Amino acid sequence: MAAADSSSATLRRCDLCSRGIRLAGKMRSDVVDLLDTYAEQQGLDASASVAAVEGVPVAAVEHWDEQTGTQRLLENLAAYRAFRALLAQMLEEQQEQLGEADAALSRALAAVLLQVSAFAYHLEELLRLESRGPPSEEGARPPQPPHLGLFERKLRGLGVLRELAQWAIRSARDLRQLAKPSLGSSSAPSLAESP
Amino acid sequence: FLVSDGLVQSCGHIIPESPVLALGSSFTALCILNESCLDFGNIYANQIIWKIKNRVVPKEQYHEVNRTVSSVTFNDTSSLANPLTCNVLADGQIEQNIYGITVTIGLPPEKPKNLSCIVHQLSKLTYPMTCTWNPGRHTFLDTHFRLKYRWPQENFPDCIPKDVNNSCTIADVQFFVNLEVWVEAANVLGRAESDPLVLDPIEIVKPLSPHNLSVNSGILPTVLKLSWENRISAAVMKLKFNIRYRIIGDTKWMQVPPEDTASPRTSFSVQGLRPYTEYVFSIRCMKEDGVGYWSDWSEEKTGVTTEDKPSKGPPIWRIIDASRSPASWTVHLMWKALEPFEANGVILRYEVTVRAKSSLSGLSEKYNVNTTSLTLNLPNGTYEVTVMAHNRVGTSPPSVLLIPASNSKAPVKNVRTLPKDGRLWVGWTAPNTYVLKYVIEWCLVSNSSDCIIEWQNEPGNIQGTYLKGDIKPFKCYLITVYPLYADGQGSGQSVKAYLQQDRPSKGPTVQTKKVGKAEAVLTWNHLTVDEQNGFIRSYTIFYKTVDGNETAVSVDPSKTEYTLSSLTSDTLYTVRMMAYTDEGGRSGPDFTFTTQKFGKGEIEAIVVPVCLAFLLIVLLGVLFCFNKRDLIKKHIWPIVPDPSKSNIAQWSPQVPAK
Repeated sequence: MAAADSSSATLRRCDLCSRGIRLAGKMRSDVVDLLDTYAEQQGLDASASVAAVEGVPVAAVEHWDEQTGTQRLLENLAAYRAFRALLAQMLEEQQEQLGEADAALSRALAAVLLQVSAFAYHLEELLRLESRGPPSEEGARPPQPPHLGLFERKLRGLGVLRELAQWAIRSARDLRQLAKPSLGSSSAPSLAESP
Repeated sequence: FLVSDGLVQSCGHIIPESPVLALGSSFTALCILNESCLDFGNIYANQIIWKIKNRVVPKEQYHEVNRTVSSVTFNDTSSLANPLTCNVLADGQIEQNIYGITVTIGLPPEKPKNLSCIVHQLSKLTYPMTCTWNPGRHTFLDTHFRLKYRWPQENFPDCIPKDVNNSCTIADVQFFVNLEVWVEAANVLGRAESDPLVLDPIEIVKPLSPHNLSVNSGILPTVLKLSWENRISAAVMKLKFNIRYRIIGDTKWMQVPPEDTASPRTSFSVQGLRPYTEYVFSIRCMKEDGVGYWSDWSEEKTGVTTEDKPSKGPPIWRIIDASRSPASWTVHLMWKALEPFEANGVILRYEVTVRAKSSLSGLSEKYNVNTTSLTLNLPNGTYEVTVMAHNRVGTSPPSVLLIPASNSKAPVKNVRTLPKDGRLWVGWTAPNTYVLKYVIEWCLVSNSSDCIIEWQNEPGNIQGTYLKGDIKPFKCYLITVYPLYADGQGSGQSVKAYLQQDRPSKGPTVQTKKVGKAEAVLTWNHLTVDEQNGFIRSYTIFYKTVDGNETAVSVDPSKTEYTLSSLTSDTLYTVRMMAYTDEGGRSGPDFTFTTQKFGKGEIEAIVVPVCLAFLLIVLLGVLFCFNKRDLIKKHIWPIVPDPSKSNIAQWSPQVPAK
């Protein structure tokens, strides 16, 4: 019974990891396309440098290889929950600002938002398999966006998307680490089952 | 009805007002009379008559609930029709209608089955998903279907089918997340849900076919390089391919082995093709691991392989005309143009080398022609003719024909033909020596045109073959078989043949050469070969008198004359002739002649004796007369006394005196 559970859990983990990796790959590709469209629509230079944006989780991290599986999952989950809120905000601002004029950009943003949402769900499921359970979202309300002018909001949007692209790369690598059989997992001690 | 305050009030009503019922279920309706109605004319519930259309419902189905309410029960809705009316017999036994309702009968929806979905790629970024299902039996009611789908943590708006009840298209789906899909059917009688389908849309994708296919020829004549653009990004899905190709004009497609194109790529070199041939290519793709659907075949693109040198030399043959003088020949050399798969390009010229083997110097003459024949005048001797075909790339291997001074080697024996399946088969018995190859010549024998020779090569190890080419039925062909040896040639053995015989198109025209009293010599010409349509096996002569029976006589087909005997003299005869082939005969025109009354010499035999007899009689008569000439004389011319010697003459006249 336990063995069956454990092996089905492993299978489910494998499935979530592999699909998560592919989703991260697609997400990155879609975000990169979206970046170009966004910059063009907003009249920005796509290569404009944007200072670190407040409230946007940073993908770069020190000692990445030393992280445990659980740590990776938690960090990823926090990041994607934040991105979900940020993108929802961006979508709202977008619709206010341009109205119906740019339905394509809104659709693309909505599609990326959906994927971010789905990825967050993958992470929550993986955490459940770790018998950890995902942290609740109650307290995690998005920080009130500082009151920014139109131009600053556009730049912020650019920064959000850029960082999301970086996160997508990092998430794929995190999941690949997770998918490796022995490393990175701090799940419940494996039960002594093999007869 | 009561009339009060200008409004018409009904006397009662029925509940339920407009029910919708399930087929086969039971139903009870209540007719409730208004209190105010009862005051008029003693109307009570037990006087209520229920009617369906205009038929009265049997009283057994009624039940008087109380003074003002009557109910009617139907065990099975199949007996219900519209309208259902509540009526009452009022004063004067007049049936009055109180109220009426219409009933709708239908079925609750069945559980939708066989739900299946497919994602059709519409453009580089758009992936609508179409799901289809079996809606189940007809409900007779307005039934709405909705396609519902969700993620574990996210709900999406329902997909509502337009104009149909068995499919719905979702505008765009996300990949790599499991989607739960199911169909809900609902009408007023109930709802039903299909079994849910859980799938990752990436597994049911039919991609767009690759486009911008281009075909390039390279250096090698057997290779063409294909390149194309894929319309699905690698981030979404890795692809595998099928490439198919065919020769232009052909209907059969060949496929590049799928194992060779089972991985992501944007180009491929197809090998093993024929040189200088136009090919049509087409390509399709699907997810590399085989999960999903193949795309449609892309638009076709053509390409031509480069030329290669010819693979074979052309087969050669000759016609020798020694008629002008035996020491000098007119040699008509001919060779067959190479088939496209041997020519491997456009043949620009043929190089013909004629080497006289009999002369010690070994001098040879070279000729370059761009036709497939060459006529030369050569002195009698042995020659070796070599022909090579040139195209832009190179030269074919040489084809060699030996023309010996005389066809002195052993010929074939026993040449025979057999028509089979619309073609003419020629067979022979091989000579004892080793034969290199055979040449079979044939030509159409006809009076109206020359016998144009056609020919074909056959390998030296066979003893029979079919003639290639258009052999017409009912025509005579002269077929000759020559064995060719390494160092000489056997003389040709000929036979005439027909692919299919028919009866002759005309019959022989028979005439008389000489007609006697009891015999007639008939004569005719043989039919021309164009009239024969087959080998003439026999002639038959038919002759008859006006009122007599026809007599038939068989004649050998080689003859052109025949004598009829035992004829009746001085009679009109009609004669005709039929010529027969294996397929039948045809009659020629009738010819009439009359036999002589008298035989040869008969007339003389009669006339001469008659004349002689006459002569004899005349002679005898003359002699008789001569004998009796005095008597005759006496009778014929009697002596008339001469008046000058008469007495009176001597009397001299004295003139009487006056």
